[in-house]
Amino acid sequence: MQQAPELIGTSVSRIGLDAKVRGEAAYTADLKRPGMLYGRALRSPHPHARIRRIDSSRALALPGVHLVLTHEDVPDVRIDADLLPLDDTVRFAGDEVAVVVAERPSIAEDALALVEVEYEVLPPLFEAGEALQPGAPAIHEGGNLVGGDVLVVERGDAEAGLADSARVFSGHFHTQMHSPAGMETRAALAEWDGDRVTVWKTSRAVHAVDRRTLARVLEVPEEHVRVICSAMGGGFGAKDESRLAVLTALAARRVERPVRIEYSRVEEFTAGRNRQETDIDLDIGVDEHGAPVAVRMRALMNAGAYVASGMGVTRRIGQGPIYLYTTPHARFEGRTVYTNRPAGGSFRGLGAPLGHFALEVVIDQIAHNLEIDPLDYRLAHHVTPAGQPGDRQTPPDELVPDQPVEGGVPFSSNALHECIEAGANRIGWREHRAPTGNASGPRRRGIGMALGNYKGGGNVMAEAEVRVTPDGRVVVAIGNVDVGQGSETVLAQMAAAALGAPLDAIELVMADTGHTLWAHVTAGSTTTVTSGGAVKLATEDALREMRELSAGGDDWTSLVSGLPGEIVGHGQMQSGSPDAVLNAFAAHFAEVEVDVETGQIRVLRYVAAHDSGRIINPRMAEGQVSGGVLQFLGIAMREEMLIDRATGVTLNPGFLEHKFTSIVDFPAVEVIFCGDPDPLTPYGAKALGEPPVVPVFAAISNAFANATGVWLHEVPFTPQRVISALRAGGVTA
Amino acid sequence: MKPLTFLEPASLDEAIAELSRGDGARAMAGGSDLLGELKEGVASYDRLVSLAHLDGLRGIEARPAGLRIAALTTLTELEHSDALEGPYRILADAARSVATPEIRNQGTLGGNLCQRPRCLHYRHALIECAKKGGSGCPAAESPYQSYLSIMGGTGCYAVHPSDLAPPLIALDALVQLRGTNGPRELPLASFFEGPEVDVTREHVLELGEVLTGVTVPAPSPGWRGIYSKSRERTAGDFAIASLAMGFELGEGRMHAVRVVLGGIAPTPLRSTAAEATLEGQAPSEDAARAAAEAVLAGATPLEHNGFKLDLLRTLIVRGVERVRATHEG
Repeated sequence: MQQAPELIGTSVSRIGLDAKVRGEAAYTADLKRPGMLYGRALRSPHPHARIRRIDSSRALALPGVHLVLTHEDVPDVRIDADLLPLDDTVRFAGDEVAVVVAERPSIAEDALALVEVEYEVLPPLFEAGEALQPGAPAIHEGGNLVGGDVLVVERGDAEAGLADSARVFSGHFHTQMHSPAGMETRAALAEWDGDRVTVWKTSRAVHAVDRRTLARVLEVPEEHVRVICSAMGGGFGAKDESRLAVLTALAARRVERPVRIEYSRVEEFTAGRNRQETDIDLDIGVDEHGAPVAVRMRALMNAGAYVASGMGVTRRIGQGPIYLYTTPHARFEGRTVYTNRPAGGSFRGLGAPLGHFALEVVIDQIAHNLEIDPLDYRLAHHVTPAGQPGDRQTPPDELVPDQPVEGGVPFSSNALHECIEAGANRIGWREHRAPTGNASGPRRRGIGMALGNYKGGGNVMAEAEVRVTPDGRVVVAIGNVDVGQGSETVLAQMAAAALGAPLDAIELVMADTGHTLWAHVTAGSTTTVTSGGAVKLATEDALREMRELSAGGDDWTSLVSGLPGEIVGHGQMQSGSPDAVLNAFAAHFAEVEVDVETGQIRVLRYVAAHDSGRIINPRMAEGQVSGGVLQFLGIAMREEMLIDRATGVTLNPGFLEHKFTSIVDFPAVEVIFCGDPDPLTPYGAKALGEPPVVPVFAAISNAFANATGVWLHEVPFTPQRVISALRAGGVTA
Repeated sequence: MKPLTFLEPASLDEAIAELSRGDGARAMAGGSDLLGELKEGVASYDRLVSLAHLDGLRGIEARPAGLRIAALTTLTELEHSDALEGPYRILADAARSVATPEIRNQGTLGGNLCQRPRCLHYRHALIECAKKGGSGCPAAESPYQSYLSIMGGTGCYAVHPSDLAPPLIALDALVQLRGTNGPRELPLASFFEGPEVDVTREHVLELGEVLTGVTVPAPSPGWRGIYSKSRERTAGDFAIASLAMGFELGEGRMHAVRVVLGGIAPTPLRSTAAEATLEGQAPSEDAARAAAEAVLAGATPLEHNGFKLDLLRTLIVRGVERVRATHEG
């Protein structure tokens, strides 16, 4: 067993992997409680309707049915500002109408057909533009523009900057609606004990979202609610919403027995939370030397029926455009719009891959038009460690945002330049890349690149507790969840390193409000940096006490042998800095072969160079990068949720036709890590979970353009869209 | 899913008797398509009559006169059969292009020929359409038309999804059916019928009738064919367009040319016009382009699937070269 300090930076085996491989890991839907009943949601067949009447009598008459929960039976307390547990209005085809609880899942399923619902069908709206038209029916009180206003962030004066530019380059971009579709479908299990409830749930936020929401809607004190996520079968940014947990707990309270609800695959697609379809307009003004002076992006996001975290998704569309290139003027305007599509929510990277798609394609087009190698253009103009020009807006003693707008603040570390050079060398940019538009024949090869910047994993608060027993066992308790990215392993490495303990002495307790302190949502690529910081502080706290109690000797065995009883260390970490922006960076390079006759794109090579500070576990870190790249190559090429414009139903709620890519169609991803440990963070690590997904769409579009002379502006790049773009661009078969 | 009775008859005659009792019965082989339809509420039957355990409906027999492939032969067996060499190689290639290994282990030849269309609108229980016994073709009004016909449709633009049908038709296969009136045999090309006959079905099976197998008359030993499939991903995808093409080469010229297309019309489409264009010609890009134009002359794409014309042209142009290369070994 390896000892500290070599544990940091070592590819130790992932903890818990064998249990998952053997099928022994207990996910929420594997859990059973004595006397447990099974729930199923009745879902609306209409995209927009008012429920006039629900008659449950036939369903309740079916032997084995215990309950039909309708909007008349639930508290009039909102889960989110736009979401009731059950409502008398349904806003998408698949929206919850009622919950049926029965002895067996099959009985619950059969009972769904026996619930009689009389609907008053309302006019549906499926397109964001249509929903913003004057006179469009309001899907929620307050209108279809979420928040009632345009979200604007700005540095300098982009309008004036564009007006003063020597040339302005513009583009329109479209990205699709698609589903995260983790292998594990959503599930919740609720069991009451008097006025206390325990809820097991697929969750990224047992503390920050679920317990709070459950307590509020169930009208019980927070300390009476315990939420546990026993294991997570894929998060990808989803599973941070509480409606399923609320309905399960309400049903369990009514039947006075434990109730479990598990989504089917179809429900996971339609009633999970999906990536929102988005339209983006981008203008970049350059001066007489070609340097960018002003960037203006306008995004229109189709949030679907409920906004969930959609405003955050919209905001993050703007981050790359505002900050990736050195420019005095930058403005982002985001409109987030309700429609009668299935609800959107968080997805890995939030809006960043969307905004970067537009930004990095237009940057490529600028370089092409100015007859500058796009590699050289990026090397000349990417944001430097000094940050953006302009004046700091944040008061001197406050933390600077990690989605910054202002200038005048340096980065804590920024190895973007090294990433670009390392990636370009690896793919052989200078040697192998032919000038754009030179290729001929039916199959044309091209090389392209795209950059990305992303939140660095800070600006949140985390708390951890470490218990050390006299027999040398260390229990690290933290409220975040291992969503599958391997945080359990990384946090154990950090704890072992700080204590000088063997790795197998460490046990993690995570995502259980009964045994962990409050934690933020496991989101924004914050776990290694911020939760890791709390773990490090907690272990250092424990170590201090152990040293005080020690009879002599500073090695682990001596320290443990001196313990009279269990000791507890506590650590709290507020990450971020008043002096510097904490960001992660990436430079991606793709080589593709385009078949201009069939519209097929084959990715031959993919190089991903990342500055994520110090890498705690290289093998798992490479897995995060290649997994993120492959996930977004699949989204770039073929994944899309197809919504029928007449009925609003999801036409392809399954793995067959929401086309996830299988391994035969993926290239190997070559991963490079650049940069030094970040001075601000524990062990010098920076965000890694999301940055790998950020540049992918643009890297492919730019490689495609190098091969064909035509840029793709619409994701996914299906044969249909590719052929249409090629023919519109004058490339014939 | 509605409760149903699952029957496992001991003999084919017993199965036919069960199936002929009424329209609420349906034959089941591998079930990979049928169970999906039932679970998704697209179809509903009172009785499933399993053929899976019947003897004599499985296996590939190669004789000098040709091949006989029994209906329950799995796609995996076709993919790996030693009998499917030379002119028959096209069948193994087509089998390999179907779905995923898991589905090929379960799916059968008979099921592949009798599977229902993959039209997204047809496959959604909440959408009414003519193929499901309702009215209209909402798919024709939808922006999602990659999997619809470019050769017209009479009230329904769904295409037949089979990958085995085009190469079998190219090999002049005959299909054997057996019903209450005994066995009958017809060319596989005549087994399929478009929506102009009955929009709710794609074939001529009568009540109680079961597809028991196909026979392939021995082609000339020098005939070679290829199967090409345009799709969005390599594994687990249906054809946007597909081509079974083959010919003999005699003194550098193409003879016994077959051009059969899948995924572009309500039924597998043999293009005798393209065959006539190629017949007697040397394989060349010009000849291939002329053949492609002969096929495309009849095309009437919908608003959002005109790109399939490009795919089809490319399939044919490259197909001629691929068959020629196959002749060279």
